[in-house]
Amino acid sequence: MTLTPAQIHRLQYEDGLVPLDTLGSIEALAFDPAADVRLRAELRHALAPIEIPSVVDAVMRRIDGDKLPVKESVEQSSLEPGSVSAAVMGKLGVGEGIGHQVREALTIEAGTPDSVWPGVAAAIGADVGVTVGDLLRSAVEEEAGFRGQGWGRAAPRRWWVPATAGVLIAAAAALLLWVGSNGSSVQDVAEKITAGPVDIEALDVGTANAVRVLDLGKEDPTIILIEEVQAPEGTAQ
Amino acid sequence: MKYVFGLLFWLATVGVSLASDGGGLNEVVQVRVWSVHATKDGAVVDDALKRVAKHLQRLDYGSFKLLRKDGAGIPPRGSKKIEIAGGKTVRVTVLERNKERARVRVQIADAEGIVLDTTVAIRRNGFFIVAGPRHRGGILVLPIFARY
Repeated sequence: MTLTPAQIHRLQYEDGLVPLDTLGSIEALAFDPAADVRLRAELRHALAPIEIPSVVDAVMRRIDGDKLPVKESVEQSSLEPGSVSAAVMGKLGVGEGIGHQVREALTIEAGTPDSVWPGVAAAIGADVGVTVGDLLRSAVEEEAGFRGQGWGRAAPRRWWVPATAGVLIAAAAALLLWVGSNGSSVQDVAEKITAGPVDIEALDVGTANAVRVLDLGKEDPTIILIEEVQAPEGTAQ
Repeated sequence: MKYVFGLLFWLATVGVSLASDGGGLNEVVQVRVWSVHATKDGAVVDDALKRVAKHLQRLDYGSFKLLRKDGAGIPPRGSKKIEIAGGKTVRVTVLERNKERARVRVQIADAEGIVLDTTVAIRRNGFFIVAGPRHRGGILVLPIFARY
């Protein structure tokens, strides 16, 4: 719906947005501005809300009090703190917490699952009657070679290994001593040489040889130098 | 347990006993003869002769090379012939021995006969040197040890 310019001017005038003289002459207008103003006033008056008489005062007078003890009434009638849940549980017919009942309800709803151990045991070749814990324990004991020791049993022979090692070491030492005292190479290394002259008790050479004895000092060995008659090649210093 | 300790003690005893038998406490005298080739060429002393090098160098030769080591264990009044380098032999007779010295007769021979026949008293673990037999452009030097 589209308003005409005359209708728009008419509404603007009624709302007080434009003065009357801006609308032109009264005769040129297609309406009576004064009649519109009166009509608007009457309508406003007719549509104004009717004043509702308050009944509060009358009620208060009837109950004989200026103030209604609402607070006290609420406090007296309210439940004790913390008892709301108990009251609710009481209404539900449950005396205590419902956690376990919820679990039971869930269990009943879902049912109890079947154990997977029989299938696993069959797959690994284990006895179904043996629990996993027993199975692991026996495996560990077998792997570690554990043997239970009880009272009354003989004490473990822990000295056996070191004793055996001692025997072997002693045997090896004896063998080394024996070899060391008889082996030529080892003996050459180990033997001590005492340098010093010898006492010559007898000395004889063949017919083709001559001999000289060199005693060079108390710390030097005696040198018996054989000198062949035919052009000896070396002489002592 | 006591058996193990007993075995250990027995082994130790045997070891010491064996060591004593091969060492210097028994009657056997370990006689050793080294064959050393001495020449005037160069001035090289074999590393194996390090322990006797200073004594060898008393001789008027420059180079000393160890040809071989020979030896034998000889009890008192025992005799053994030891072959050495150059086709020669050394017969050693242990006449007697005490804590300080061993009386030993040494006979060096070659194909032609006795080269040297001597009787010496060697200090315990001592030695003496026989030098002179010709050998390959040089001479043989024979350190003779008596160890017991």
